[in-house]
Amino acid sequence: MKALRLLLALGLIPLAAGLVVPTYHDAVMTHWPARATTQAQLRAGEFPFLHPGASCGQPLAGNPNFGVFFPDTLLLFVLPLPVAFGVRFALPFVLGFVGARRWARAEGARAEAAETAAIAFVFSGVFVSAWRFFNSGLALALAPWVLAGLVKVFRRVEAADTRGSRRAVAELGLWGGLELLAGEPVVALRPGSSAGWLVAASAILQMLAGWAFVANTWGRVKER
Amino acid sequence: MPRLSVWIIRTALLYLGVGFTLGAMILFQKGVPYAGGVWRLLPMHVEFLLIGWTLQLAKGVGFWILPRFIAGAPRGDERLVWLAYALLNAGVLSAALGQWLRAPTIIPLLGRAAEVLAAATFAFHAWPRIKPHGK
Repeated sequence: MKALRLLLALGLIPLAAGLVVPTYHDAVMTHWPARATTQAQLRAGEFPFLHPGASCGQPLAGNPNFGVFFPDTLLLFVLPLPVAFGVRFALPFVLGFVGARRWARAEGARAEAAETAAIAFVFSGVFVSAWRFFNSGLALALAPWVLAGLVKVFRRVEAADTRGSRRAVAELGLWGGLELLAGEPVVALRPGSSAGWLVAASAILQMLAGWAFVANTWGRVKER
Repeated sequence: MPRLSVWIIRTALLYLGVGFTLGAMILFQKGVPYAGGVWRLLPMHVEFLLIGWTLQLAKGVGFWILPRFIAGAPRGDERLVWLAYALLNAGVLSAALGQWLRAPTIIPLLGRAAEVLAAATFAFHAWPRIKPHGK
């Protein structure tokens, strides 16, 4: 397994080192120019509000597809554009692999089974198809992290572990936030739809809170 | 707290509990779909919480704390407020159940009319009590 992991990591080096640049569809037509503009503006000390080279001026930071608020934008300050751009494509593969493994482990799978699930995820047709896109690949890679966080929340709550529950909720918030910042709202909604049980649970809690208030107040409303 | 305020506020509390329960049923459906028909409870949820709880609570507290009269009955003619209480609850139930059960339009319409009449009756009662202290 370790050898396989090493092999996969080695395969990503040309991408992460900027030796090869993804040129498929949106990558080179839309995101490379946008990333170059973002880098130039950030290095000039300006906030990348506008993409002047697209359609006579387009929102840049205001367009979630460009993922300006995803933390990897900070790499543009310190790395050459081909490297920062390549890292953006290498990162989803690593995140997808580790995230899928983490999710499987959170669901109770053994280490070997989780490793197999991770490999199956990053080589699945859905992931490989999404990976060639600047934003949807990253959003899909983060989805298992969100789902793993959700599973952990339920486990900790079931175990009545207050401290662990708080940590799990914080973790879920972190990955949920990154999922939204990745820039692909459709993919971001997929793990969100699995959060339906969270909505249902909050519905029950709200109802119980309402009746608790009624019960608490009932006796205090009395004739005097 | 006068007996009438106790009745009004406790009725409002019941609407709060039931209204929250209906809202929870709808919210649960949003998270985990179990019965699409539950959305038909939405008008009843709104009616119970907006009129049955919020407005009714304001009425109950208003009847209790508005300035009292020095001479005569301290809170004026209570029968008007009993009438407003009956009209408001008849109105809330007619409007809410009428919409939920898809009753003829006249039922929720009569309910709305009862609610307006309840508001007018309560205002008629409370008007003279809105006065400077000691008069």
